[in-house]
Amino acid sequence: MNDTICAVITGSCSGAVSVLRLSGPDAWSAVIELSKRQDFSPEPRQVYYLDIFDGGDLLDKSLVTFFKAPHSFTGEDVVEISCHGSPYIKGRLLEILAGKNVRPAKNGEFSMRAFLNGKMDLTQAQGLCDLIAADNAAAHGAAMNSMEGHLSEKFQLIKDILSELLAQIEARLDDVDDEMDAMDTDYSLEALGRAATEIKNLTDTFRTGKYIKDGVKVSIVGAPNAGKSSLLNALLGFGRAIVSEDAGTTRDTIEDAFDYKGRKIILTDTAGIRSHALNAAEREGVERSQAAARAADIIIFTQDISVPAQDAELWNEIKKLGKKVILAENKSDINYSPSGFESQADAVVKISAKTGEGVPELKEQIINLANLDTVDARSNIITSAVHYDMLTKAFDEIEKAKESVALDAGLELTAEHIRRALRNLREIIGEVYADDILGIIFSKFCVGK
Amino acid sequence: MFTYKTEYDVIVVGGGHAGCEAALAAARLGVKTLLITQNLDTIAQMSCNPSIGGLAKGQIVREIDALGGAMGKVADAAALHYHMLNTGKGPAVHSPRVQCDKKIYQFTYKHTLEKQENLDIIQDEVTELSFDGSKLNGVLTLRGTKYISKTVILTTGTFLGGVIHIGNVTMPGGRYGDAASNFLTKNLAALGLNVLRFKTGTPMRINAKHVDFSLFIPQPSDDPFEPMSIFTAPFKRDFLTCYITRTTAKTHEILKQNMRRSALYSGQIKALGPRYCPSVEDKIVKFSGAESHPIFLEPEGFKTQEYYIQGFSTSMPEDVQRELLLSVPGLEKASLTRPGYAIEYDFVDPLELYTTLETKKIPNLFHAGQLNGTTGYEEAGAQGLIAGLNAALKIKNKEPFILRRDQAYAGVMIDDLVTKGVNEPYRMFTSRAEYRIMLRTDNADLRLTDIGIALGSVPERYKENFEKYKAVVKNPDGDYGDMSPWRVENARKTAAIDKLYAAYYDRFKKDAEKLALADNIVIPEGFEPSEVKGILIESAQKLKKIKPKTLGAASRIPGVTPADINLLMIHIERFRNERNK
Repeated sequence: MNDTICAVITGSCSGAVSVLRLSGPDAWSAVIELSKRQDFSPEPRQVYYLDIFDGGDLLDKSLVTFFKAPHSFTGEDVVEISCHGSPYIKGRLLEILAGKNVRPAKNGEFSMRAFLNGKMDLTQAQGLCDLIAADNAAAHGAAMNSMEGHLSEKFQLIKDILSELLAQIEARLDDVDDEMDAMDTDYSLEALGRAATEIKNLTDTFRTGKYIKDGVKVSIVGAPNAGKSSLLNALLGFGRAIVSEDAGTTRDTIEDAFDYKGRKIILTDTAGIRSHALNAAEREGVERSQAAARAADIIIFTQDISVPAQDAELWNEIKKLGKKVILAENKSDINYSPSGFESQADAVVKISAKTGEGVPELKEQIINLANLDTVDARSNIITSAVHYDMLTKAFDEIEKAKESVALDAGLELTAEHIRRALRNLREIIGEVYADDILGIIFSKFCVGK
Repeated sequence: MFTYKTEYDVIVVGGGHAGCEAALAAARLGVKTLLITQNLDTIAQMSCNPSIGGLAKGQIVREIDALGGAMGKVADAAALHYHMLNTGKGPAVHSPRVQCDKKIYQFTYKHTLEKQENLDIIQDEVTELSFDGSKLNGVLTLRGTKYISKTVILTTGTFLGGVIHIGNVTMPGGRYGDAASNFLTKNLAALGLNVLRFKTGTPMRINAKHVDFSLFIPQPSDDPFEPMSIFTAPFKRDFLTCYITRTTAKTHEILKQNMRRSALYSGQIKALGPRYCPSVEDKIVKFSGAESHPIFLEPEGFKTQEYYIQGFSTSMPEDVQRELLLSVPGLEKASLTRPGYAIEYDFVDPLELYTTLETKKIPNLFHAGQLNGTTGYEEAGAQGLIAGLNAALKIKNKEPFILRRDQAYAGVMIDDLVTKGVNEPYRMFTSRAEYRIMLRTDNADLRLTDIGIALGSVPERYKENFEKYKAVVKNPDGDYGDMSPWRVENARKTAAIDKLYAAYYDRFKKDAEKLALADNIVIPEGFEPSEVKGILIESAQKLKKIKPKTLGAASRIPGVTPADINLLMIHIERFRNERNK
């Protein structure tokens, strides 16, 4: 309980505002660091309006409350961040905090700390016990049915690769008479590489997993008057944005969501982007839309295809973001003059925002690019931030093990990183005991008395 | 029956490696101690190989040494060959091993015991524990004597119900030439302790008169060498040479043809053995693809030319053992002096013990050594030391002495024994230690000696010297005053190794803090962990059987989940709150 934990405590639904709670000794310092205000020493139980940074970029402006132990929910130092409800902002905050040694909280963990610090009475604790017990049974059930589902198979595979490699190394450490061949560097690197790839494949699904829980974030961008707001309305099925013939009508970003095939898609309509904005308000709008594009999982680049392309500069800007881009060729019912961006796009859909032509196909492409139609939500997707965190840490240890092998730093150090990787994964794959490793060694190597 | 007038605080039953350390440790803490052994001439007998230390075991000897035990110093007195193992690998896995003159070892140890204040030694065989009502109050012996004591430490090694097997020949015995102890094992079972059975073995010994050593690879003693004890200054001695050779195709053929005649493979031995290969039969059966296995010739002493043949442990009949010698070039003319044999013996399930090595069922009764299902002199010695200290601390009404897993291999071993139990003779490996990089031979004193001084097992007068030593480790280039150059060199070596591993210490420290946190949460008397609602059934069964004393110990029981531990944590807190109302 001497570490710092965090979680969104307002549920995963996308409300206007979400609250993220941090609890533990580093809670204050982690948030102060995010605000980039050195010398900032907040008063307990005061609300501050803080800029929250993601590296150099502004992530959100949030209301932040600091609580000093023991006067807090958990009895520890606590910070509560009321941020904008966007899944991206919440997800990104958790990711950044994980990098600052703040790990995702497990189910009931805040309450547990509250209880152990005398902040919760016995009756309340019973509810907490029921929650943990249910989790225990469920997790145990999952572990028991380890042959079921791709995910358990993947975990088992990672466990096997690492256990086998560790046994090979441990056998060498035990081989005081130098009876065995030296450890094969290529085999070590290959095995570590395989484990790293398996873990990477799983952590990559975390995005997909989050899509399933929180929705896919789609940003509509394009030159002024390309028809972005019309497209938003067409996708939503109702007139959410004001549409006019005048270029630059939309100055603020508009966010709304719709369900398609059971998946949640969160749309952001942005101000049209052009290099020389007319006035201050429009300039502000342009900045916001750029931020939204950066935050998106998928970008729909909307283009007026009825006239020759004039937005090459913008297209290049967008492509630089490295996101998946759907080229939505609007007004194709009027005239069609290809822009030449088609070959660079991840998907091209001819649409007419006005008539609704091509809109279903566009929705399909969103689902496609988010990889949502190829994955089964219950099989090989990481949806839990706690699992993601453990896998990421294990991945880092495997990378260090690789480095140790490459530098020939010593078998005991390579072993140390593999053991740490296994330890990071123990709540997912089960504990790998020293005795299990000895079992592999004794079955493969002749260890005498 | 005669009741001896002196009333003891601690009686140690058995004079092997566990018993000797137990008796010394208790006596050093100032409590009145008696050691009873079947035979004073076999005090600290090296029943098997003539060496102390080795992989992970060398670390344990240094830990015994750092806590004031005798094993390391006695080994140095008896040393005939030193070898630091694994020097080609990182310093965390360097392990010292010393070949000893078995007789010098025994008599040095015997003399150490004889000189120790507060310690009596008597030759007799304990047949029964004695009780006053349900309270343990001493032991009864074969000669009909009753010795009164507040606590008893059993360190009976392989002697309980020992049966020796050489081919189809079987005979009772605790070691070849020594009688087994059959009364005591019946007594323990009758008292309700879970008595189980293991097997182990030892190789043949030969007279080297006509051995052709020119056919072997000599392995000279290390020069310079590192003494086993941190208290031993470098010294000069004419060391002996060990030799390495290998089994041949002929050896393997003989073994294969006679496999059914081996006591291990004929079905004659029922007891559980280890998964590794204690016998050459095992090697041939389990690794039939290997063309050859190494054989080490180790001298048994300075004034004998008997050699121990490491790698040739066997329970083949005597005629096959003679044939095996013929199959190894150089050994053809060697004469067999003592055959190898397998031995089956009783031990008591270590799940019967608390981390202090006191039994849960019989207060004031402690168990140490091979009786707890371990193998090895070093493993036994460390348990003896800890049982001896805890018996004495209990007499003195002081807090028990428990080593954590991040403090010592001895801590890892005892925690493993009492939380996981044993399915095979437990032998230490470095891979059992999560904190391997911290638990080294070079820093055993830095880890443990302050504790030893505080307990009284390390003499107070050593403190000043040790403080200076620590200062040099901290600041290796600083002033070291009048410290001996070899001590300065050791301190600097440790400082350099600490630097090498410094990057790993942070994480270890954090883990160790968490460990200490959980280990400090004592499961209160009257609280039954297995009855907590929501705990997995398998976990509940294990908790009921093992009865961990702390939350930390509970968390290390295989199968107990982190969620189980969270539930326990909450319920312990509730239990305390309600009791305090």
